Amino acid sequence: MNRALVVDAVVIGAGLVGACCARALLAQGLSVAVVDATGPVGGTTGSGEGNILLSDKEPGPELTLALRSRQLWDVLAADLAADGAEIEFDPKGGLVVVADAAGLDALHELADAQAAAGVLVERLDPAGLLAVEPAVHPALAGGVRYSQDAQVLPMAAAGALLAAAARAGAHLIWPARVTGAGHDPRGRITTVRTDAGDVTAGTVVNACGPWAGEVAALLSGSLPVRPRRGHILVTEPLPPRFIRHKVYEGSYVAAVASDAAALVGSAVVESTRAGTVLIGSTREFAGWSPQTSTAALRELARRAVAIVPALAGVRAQRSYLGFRPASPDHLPLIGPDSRVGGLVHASGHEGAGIGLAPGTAELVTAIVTGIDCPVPAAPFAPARLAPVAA
Amino acid sequence: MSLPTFGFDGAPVPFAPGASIGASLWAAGVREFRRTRGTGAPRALFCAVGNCFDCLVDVEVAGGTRPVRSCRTPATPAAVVRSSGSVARPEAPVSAAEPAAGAVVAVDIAVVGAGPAGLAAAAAAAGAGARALLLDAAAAPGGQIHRRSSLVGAPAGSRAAEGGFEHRGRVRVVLVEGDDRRGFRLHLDRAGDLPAAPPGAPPPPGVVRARAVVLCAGATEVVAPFDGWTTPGVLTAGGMQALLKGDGVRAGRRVLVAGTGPLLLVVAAGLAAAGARVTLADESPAGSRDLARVGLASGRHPATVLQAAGLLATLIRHRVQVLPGWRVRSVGSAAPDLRVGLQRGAAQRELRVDAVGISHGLAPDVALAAQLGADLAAPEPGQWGRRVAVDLDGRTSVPGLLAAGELTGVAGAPAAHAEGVLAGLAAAGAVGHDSGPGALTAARRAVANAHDGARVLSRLWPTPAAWWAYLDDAETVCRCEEVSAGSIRAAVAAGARTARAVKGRTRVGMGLCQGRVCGPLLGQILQERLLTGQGTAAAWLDSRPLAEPVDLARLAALD
Repeated sequence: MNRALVVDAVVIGAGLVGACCARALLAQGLSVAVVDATGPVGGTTGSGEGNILLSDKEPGPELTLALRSRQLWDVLAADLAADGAEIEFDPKGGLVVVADAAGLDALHELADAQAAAGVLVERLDPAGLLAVEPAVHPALAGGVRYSQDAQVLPMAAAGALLAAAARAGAHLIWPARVTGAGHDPRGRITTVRTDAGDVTAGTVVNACGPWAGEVAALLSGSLPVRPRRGHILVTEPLPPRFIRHKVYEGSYVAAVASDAAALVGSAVVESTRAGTVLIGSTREFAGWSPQTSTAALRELARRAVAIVPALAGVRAQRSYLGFRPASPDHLPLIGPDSRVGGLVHASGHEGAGIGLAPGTAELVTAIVTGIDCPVPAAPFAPARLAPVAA
Repeated sequence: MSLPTFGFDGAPVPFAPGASIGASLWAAGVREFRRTRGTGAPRALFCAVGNCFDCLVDVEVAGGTRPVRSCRTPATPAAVVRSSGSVARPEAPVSAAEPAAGAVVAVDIAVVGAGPAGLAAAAAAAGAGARALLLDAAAAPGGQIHRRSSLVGAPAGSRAAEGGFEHRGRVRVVLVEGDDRRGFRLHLDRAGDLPAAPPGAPPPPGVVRARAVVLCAGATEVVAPFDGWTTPGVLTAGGMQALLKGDGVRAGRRVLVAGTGPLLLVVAAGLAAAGARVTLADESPAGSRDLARVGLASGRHPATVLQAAGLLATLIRHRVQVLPGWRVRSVGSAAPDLRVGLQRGAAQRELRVDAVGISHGLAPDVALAAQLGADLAAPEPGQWGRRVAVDLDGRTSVPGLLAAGELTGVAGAPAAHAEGVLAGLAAAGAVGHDSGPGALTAARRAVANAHDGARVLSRLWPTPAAWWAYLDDAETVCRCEEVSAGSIRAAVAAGARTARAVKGRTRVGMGLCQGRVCGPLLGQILQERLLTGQGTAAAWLDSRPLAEPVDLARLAALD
């Protein structure tokens, strides 16, 4: 940028949440700029599995958002397919499996509550499990199938969305690191300063994932987001659809809800179109450490083999890790900054950002433009966590 | 007495004792080991040393069918081998027993890689009084040199008996991490692609705890793509050498050796002496022609000059056809032959051969160093791929971690040996076994001398840069995932400027070789042509764990 750019809204963060926000704001007729420190696939969007899940959410605001977002994903996937983008959206469904009777009772209780909230669930006994997923362990106690769970390639989706946004007139600016902000006398944000130039806008959307706290501070706001690290193993190629669903062990929900700083593992196993099998998941607070954890890889391997025994004879070809944006109460942080007018946050999704991205964008657009939104915004307001003023 | 045989797709294939499945198939004339997952294209041997994963064949194992690198798998009479569909087909394991964790061994210094640098480092460290352990994937030490053999053979010192240090062959390092207390933990696995050994076999290798580590992992061969480079029958020049020296197999009867670099002379001479009719096409004619002249003019490196003269004499004696300045433009199948198109300036010509050996240089294998977070440096002009950044004594940016040999910059065997000695002494010093200033000074002087010679050589053979412009859109760049030049160009046109972004859009580097073959190519494209405003690191594919594919059962038993 040679001179200051002026738009209605600037979205900071070109991951999937930012890309969806840009699309939704453009659709309301706003002029939009998207700024990113490195460029697409620089952050969490490129480090996950591509989960679009209802199964791992207990009834509450997040499940409400997830249900709405799942509907919007169908629309989004169809639009991108019509554009010719290959994002590998696959409504394959999820399968939660449990090894023991007590765990099965707890799973059934959760599934009933989710069903009451509108999630499609199907109880399966061991024979039923093997019929729909032949590779699972034959001695499981049972499970639940969630037909609405889906898979996508997040980087491809974000890339396609950003390309479409550019065609619709959005300014895409990278690499550009935020260095500060300008505010008017009332403290309302007016300008975002970056090392590649300034952007003047009435609205600033902070979609920086695990960096959202740092960026909020640079803009004189605040957001209690911190990185929650996760590892993934990728196997050598197997026959396509060796595993047909996303398969998780029942402890997945508890792991997501855990506040443990130490390593927590819970198996998630699925096949990709390329034939490799993705094996997740681990959670830990380890700062931003890029050092692969041997303990994490051990957990991933052990738990995966426990639910899909044939994987014992399969090789992992690589591992990778990423950082989820964790919020203190496990609910996303979507809404106005508690102090700085014009600054809207869209982060704190932890491991659910891909699935929740379209719904988040709808919420953000409603907050910014005042249009209606079927999902109540109040539970996600960052102000709920703002410290009492000194 | 007839040779033993193994079955390949039901037909018997003879093998010499010690030869690999891949070499034996090649010797028997098999040129289709597998079909790729994507386009069903035929593949056979390419690098022949275990880097490229092209040579996969299916073997029956306890857990189902597994594709293995045939060049790394010894032939046995019991082997039931089939051409591969390039996917593993696991079945539920017979036994659910967890494999026993291997033993933990504590040493002062672990040296990874038993080529000239590693042998020298282990010997020097042990000589200074440290307890040193040398780890390598091959059964016997010597590294790639005893097969590939650089312009000067390994100096006598490195062939000395393994005095004073322990050696563990047939292992590979799966993961390295910093040890909580001090130093490093190296997690080992059996080398090769076969799963855990049957009951009764010795316990699996476990963990090495070392106070200091010297990485001597060497470099992998680089081939700049040309149209038809994935045609079976096209090998790396080093691969041809490995087949000859390691497996006793001559790659063909009428062979073209082509590309750039001093290795071509060695490979051409070796094949000619083995009875092949050889044509040598060196893209950089100054190299072959002027090597002796430059060496004589500088008055130094007489051993190098003598060996070069000896190789040239071999070429003349066996009437090797030399085509200086000609580069390979295309290879097509004219079964059972290959039809090779060559170009020099505006002139074109065609050759018919039955095997082509290509080399355009070497790229350091930085995987383990990257796992530990060591700083990597951009390639020097004329070199491929990033290298591990080291100070004058071989220390990396990670305390306690040193590196020596081609890993720190390709400079040939004499430099690797000298660097190994110096790094071994420095590592020993780091753990309290000082050698005294005299020994270090002498070692530093030897390194400086060796580098001097290496710089002379590398000026004669610049890396080719025009290959990317010549490469057809439809031609493959990433061999594992069959990513074409066109899709890489499209990704860049759509805004991808970093290796990670190109990978995210095209899958380049996401196959079994994890970017060992295509990474240096992509890095050159992005670094030299397209990168604007980005740091060096952005041009290169990340080197992620795991350094090689590892059984999930082994990972489940990590200590």
